[in-house]
Amino acid sequence: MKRLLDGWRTLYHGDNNYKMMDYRPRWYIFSASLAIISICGIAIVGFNLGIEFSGGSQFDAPVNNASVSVAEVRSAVEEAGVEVASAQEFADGARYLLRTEIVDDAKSAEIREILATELNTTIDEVGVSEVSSSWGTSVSRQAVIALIVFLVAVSVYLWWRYERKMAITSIAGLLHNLVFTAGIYAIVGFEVTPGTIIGMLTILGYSLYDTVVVFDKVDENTRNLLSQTKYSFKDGANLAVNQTLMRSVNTSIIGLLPVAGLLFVGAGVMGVGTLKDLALVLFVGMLTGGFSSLFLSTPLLIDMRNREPAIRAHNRKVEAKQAANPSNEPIVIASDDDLEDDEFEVNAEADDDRVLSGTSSGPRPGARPGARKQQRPGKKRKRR
Amino acid sequence: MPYFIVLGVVTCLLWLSAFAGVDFKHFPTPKLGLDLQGGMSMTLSAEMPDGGTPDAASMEQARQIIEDRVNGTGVAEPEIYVEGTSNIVVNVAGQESDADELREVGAPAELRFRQVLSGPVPDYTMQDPEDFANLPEEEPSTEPSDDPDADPSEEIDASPSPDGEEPSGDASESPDAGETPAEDEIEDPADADPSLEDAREAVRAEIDPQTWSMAEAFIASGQPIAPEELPSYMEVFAEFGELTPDQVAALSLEMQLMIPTIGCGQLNARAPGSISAMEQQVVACDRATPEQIAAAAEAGQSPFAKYLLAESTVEGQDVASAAIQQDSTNPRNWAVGLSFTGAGQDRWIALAQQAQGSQVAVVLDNVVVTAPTIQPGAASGGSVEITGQFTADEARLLAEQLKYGSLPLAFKVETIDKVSATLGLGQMQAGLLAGAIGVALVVLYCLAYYRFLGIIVILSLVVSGALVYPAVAMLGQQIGFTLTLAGIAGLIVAIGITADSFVVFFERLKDEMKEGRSPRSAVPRAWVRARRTIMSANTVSILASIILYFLAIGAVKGFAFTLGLSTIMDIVVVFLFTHPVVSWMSRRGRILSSARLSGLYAGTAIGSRPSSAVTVKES
Repeated sequence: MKRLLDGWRTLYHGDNNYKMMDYRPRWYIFSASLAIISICGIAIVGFNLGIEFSGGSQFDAPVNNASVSVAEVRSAVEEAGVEVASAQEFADGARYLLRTEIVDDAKSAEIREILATELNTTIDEVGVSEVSSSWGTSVSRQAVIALIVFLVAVSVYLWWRYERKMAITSIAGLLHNLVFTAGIYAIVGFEVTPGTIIGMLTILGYSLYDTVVVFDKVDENTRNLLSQTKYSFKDGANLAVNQTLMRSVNTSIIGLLPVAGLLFVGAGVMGVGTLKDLALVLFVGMLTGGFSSLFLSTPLLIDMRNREPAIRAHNRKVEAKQAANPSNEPIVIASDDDLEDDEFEVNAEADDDRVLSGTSSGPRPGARPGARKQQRPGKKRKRR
Repeated sequence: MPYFIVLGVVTCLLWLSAFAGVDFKHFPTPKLGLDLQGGMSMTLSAEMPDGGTPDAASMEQARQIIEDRVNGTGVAEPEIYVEGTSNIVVNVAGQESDADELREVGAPAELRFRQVLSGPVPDYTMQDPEDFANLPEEEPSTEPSDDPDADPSEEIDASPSPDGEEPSGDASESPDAGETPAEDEIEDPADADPSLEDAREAVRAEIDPQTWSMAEAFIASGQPIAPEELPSYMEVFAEFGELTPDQVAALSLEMQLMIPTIGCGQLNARAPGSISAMEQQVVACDRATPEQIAAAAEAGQSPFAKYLLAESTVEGQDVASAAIQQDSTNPRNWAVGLSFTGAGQDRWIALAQQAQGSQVAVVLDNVVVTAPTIQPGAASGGSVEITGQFTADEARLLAEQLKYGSLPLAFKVETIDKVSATLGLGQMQAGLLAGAIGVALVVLYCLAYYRFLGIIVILSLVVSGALVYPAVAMLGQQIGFTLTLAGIAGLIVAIGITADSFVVFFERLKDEMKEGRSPRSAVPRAWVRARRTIMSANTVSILASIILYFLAIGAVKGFAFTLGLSTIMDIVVVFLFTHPVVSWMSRRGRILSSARLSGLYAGTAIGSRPSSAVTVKES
């Protein structure tokens, strides 16, 4: 408890400097296993589609006993163990319409019996027919087209705003997020309704939003990366994750609180319904959305950037310097607009580094490329 | 200060337009969706010529076309499904007054392109199509079309009027009208359908034999009606004006076209699909806008005209796309651009070549939507422009009908009735309760975490709410945006997304102050950086909502709308309210300087763990 409180206080004061990005393999294994479990779940268990997707049965009964409300009829049918998708009054309450999941003949007869008793009519008066799905394939098709266009557009935007690798890794984080949420649905067997699809799309925007906030900080921290040797790309990214950690925690809490309200009311008070569907998918998606920005997209970005020759060379320089002069001092990174103010000693140091690297690293680029290419695969494995 | 003025103006404008939308009569409320408020339900049943059951694939195809069409009219999130084997149910949100609208957008139609063989022949009757529209089929009509008989003098005055919509001169001058009744040219639908012969015999039995033979003689003579003879013709053939639409449908084409007492009210009310057979010639009427109807009524004329139309070679399914565009020769007018599918294009070119210089009618169900003259260029390619004195609305309607008019089956509107909400107000109250709980939790958390700044978060959320509510209400009135339960949930979730902007800003502020800056210098620095992050992240959301809005349909479109709306409001609030308030506070009060009040930890105030020492210069 003490540790937990201490940890919270550290976070609250923004003093946290966890070396999260040193455990990248661990995060990959974790993300990969989640993805595999999800895909297996989707492939083996499959989705539990709601009536809006799979169609169902419709019962149509005349009302001879107006004192019975449509809600009462609904709960009477639900007590028989049948899921009711909608219960409506038709023509100012002259008839009640109930749409349920697909039922077999026995169940259908049972429901008609219930309706006839409740509404004071005969079984023959209660009509039953099959209804198709109301969620058209064209809606799904257009949604998929829109999604693809969106992913392309957002990649182009991120590429233009930041860089190509950030675009790739944020999309990777997003896909992981969607797969995991879908997997949870398949495995737990929650019903997939239009509300769920809407929730999935909300997550999509939310997850990217989250990643952009983290990457914005990474971008800022590493803008002057190559002009100093105090910290590497990984250190800059790690710092960014630390700096945005409290924001991520805060945003997740603030985002999840209303969703928790929806979930509580939707599932606890009202039973099944749109609210529950939406709240569930959002709850799962938002939780994992924060995770994938910090622990999947960012580690992926670090490893992709580490393959770049310039970054590799820089890493080596930073390692050499840190080995020669080990210190536990946290890194302080001066961003662009700090350059004009002289409050920080760090800036002076950074300026020194720039001069140093400018003179001493001159001959290096030409001397190394061949050796580097051969080293790459081996070195990659050694790091684990 | 100027920020607050802009914010005030924006808020006032939104509320004003929301109130203007309800004519300041009551408090503006959002238009609620089918699930919360209920609406209208229309049942369409497929009409098979042989009385059989349509196959499931055609029904699904028809369902999708109807869905596209209803969706094409806005973001109202309709619900459309196949019930049983031959019914399609269309549910839309809204109250009783929308029944006509539903009929218009939902009632499907079959589209045919037919060369005009003869016409326009003026409709001499004063039939009101409304009288026939709801007429039960089996019940013979007694009262409609009484006008010409009751007061023939009015007809005389009216007919020769040269300024009318359809001057009678048209008919007498038009060489087509005179030549038409050359017997060998016009087919008789009864040749193809023997049952029609029986029906015609039944009609013949109802009509006075003398009148019938006079009608036959009149048709055979091929004489156009001179204006001065019209009253006597109207009197002689009065019986034909009392036939039911279905009886009229059984008559020969010459009779339908030439007998002056057979009006467009009867012709338009024929059973759906009665002139959809492609291999038959048909008689159909054009249609008129309400303004044309009013103008014609004033002039004592019928706004309609009858056409004899050739066999159809191009049908709705041949149309690949139709869109409204500017008239290329007369940019002040609107036109409809059409393109055909591969096979459809060949058929269209054949039709256009054959009809060069004459008219081709676009027939939707029983009505000629438009009958443009084929210009020489029309036969050249797959993309065609239909021009006319279209207003933007007319052109849009025509484009929609052309695009979605390709139903594989003929449908009849079986019932239109009210339905209650699928979920009901109980669920909506639950949603609002959930929202209240959510907001309360967010408020508590913000107060605990950001202390005084938490109050700014709450005020910002209130401002955001004051902006979003009138926007949703106004859009409900203007473009039919309906708020479903999912939409309400989306708005509740947006609370979190809106609050995120503040969190980004405040966390930056905290960072800056931790580095030892005074609030006065920390706020502008934090704002510059936070603004960049907020804009980058919100750009992604806006991108998502724009793309989803324009490409997706149905519920997904509605979602995109909500997302875009709340993102834009988020930007408005954080730029025009949150930042100015914080900035003002940093200059005036001492609240931000106190860690206890602001929750902003200023470096040395509370002891921190030694391992996380930060290089801070004493300020």
